[in-house]
Amino acid sequence: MTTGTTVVRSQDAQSYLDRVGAALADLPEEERADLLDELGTHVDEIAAEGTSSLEARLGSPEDYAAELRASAGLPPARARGRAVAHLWARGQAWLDRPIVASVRDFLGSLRPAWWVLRGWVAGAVVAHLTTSSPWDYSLLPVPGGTIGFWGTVVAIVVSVQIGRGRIRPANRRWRHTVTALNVVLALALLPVLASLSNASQYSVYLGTRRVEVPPAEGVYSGGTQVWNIYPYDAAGRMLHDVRLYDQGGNPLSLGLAFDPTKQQTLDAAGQKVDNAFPYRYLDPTTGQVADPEAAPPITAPPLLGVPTATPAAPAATASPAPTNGKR
Amino acid sequence: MDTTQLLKGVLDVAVLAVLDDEDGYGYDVVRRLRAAGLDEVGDASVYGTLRRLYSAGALTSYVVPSDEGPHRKYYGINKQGKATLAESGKTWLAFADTMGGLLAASTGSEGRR
Repeated sequence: MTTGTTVVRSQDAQSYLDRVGAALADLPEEERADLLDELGTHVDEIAAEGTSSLEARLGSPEDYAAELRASAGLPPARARGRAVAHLWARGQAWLDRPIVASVRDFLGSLRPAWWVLRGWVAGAVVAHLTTSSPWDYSLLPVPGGTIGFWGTVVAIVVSVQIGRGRIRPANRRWRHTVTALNVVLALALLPVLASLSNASQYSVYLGTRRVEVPPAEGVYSGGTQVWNIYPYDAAGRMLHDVRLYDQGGNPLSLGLAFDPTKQQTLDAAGQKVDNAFPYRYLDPTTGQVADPEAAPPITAPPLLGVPTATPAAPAATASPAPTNGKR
Repeated sequence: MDTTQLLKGVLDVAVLAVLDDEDGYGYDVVRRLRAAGLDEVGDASVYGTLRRLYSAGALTSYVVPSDEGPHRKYYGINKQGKATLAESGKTWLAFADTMGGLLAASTGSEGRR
């Protein structure tokens, strides 16, 4: 059961220890563990002599526990011990009921899945405590980054090996340690899943997977939203009230929320025009355009060698030049 | 009379006496008590007694790692333990003396006269 050079404890010895432990169940955990630790070396030593069975040599585990209590000046098990034993027996009876037993059997067959899951949770917890790398969805959702990925792989392998009993230190409290870890990881499952569902809303799927970025309103340039457009002609003069259309002939809208200080422009048909640039803004106190010549602090040098023909334009307004339009 | 009944009263002194010779771990103390003639001493009683004496401050304790076996918890007697041993030993000897006298007066008298 143990590794390395330490004594291999027999099934007999372990069950003897467990029974003594059960008979001392009402003692404070630290004291109990201390007693059992010493008894463990004792039992190993007697087992190594190999002359007779433990029970023949030491008496029944319950008698041993009683003698130990009496000589160590500990309270006898009577009152509490009996109540605990009673509860224990009732619990066992309940667990042995056919329907409960079949559920336990079913859940038991899912244990390997839990081993993988708890390894994954452990990896996720460690990765998120040590790094801030996001989730990686390229295969399964695992913590991103090299450390997060391989850490999770190692955690899953270790978890499965523990589950299979391939990793079992000689420490008597190992079983308690595993139980405690199971509880902690089961509790950690919730925040980890919450972080996962949070992350998936903003994440970018790779390859053929969907890109879950909501379509943005308005016009963007270099990743930032455009709030106004200032056209300049070939000579470098700023133009006013230039109407812009997109490739489909639709008026170019900057998609800005309604702003009462923006000057409202109407066309000859009385329709609101939102694609005449640059936008002008009103002074809130006077209700007049604050600065008709407002422009970014730039100087646009005149262009060289521009064609004099009318440039191609979508069929929004009038007839485009037929020959140049093909180019 | 069953010696286990007698042992209960004197196990503390016996254990202290054994440890006064030399430090020892639990099973070692059991063996030395048996070798000294206390055949019926129970393992659990010795371990329990060691623990109680240690809790009472009469013993020191330390762990000795071993290469081929488990780590052993050794016990040693300290100043308080020696004082207890001296006092209890005196009490025991006086008691044994009294008992010896009593028994000599009743059973032993027949042999002498």
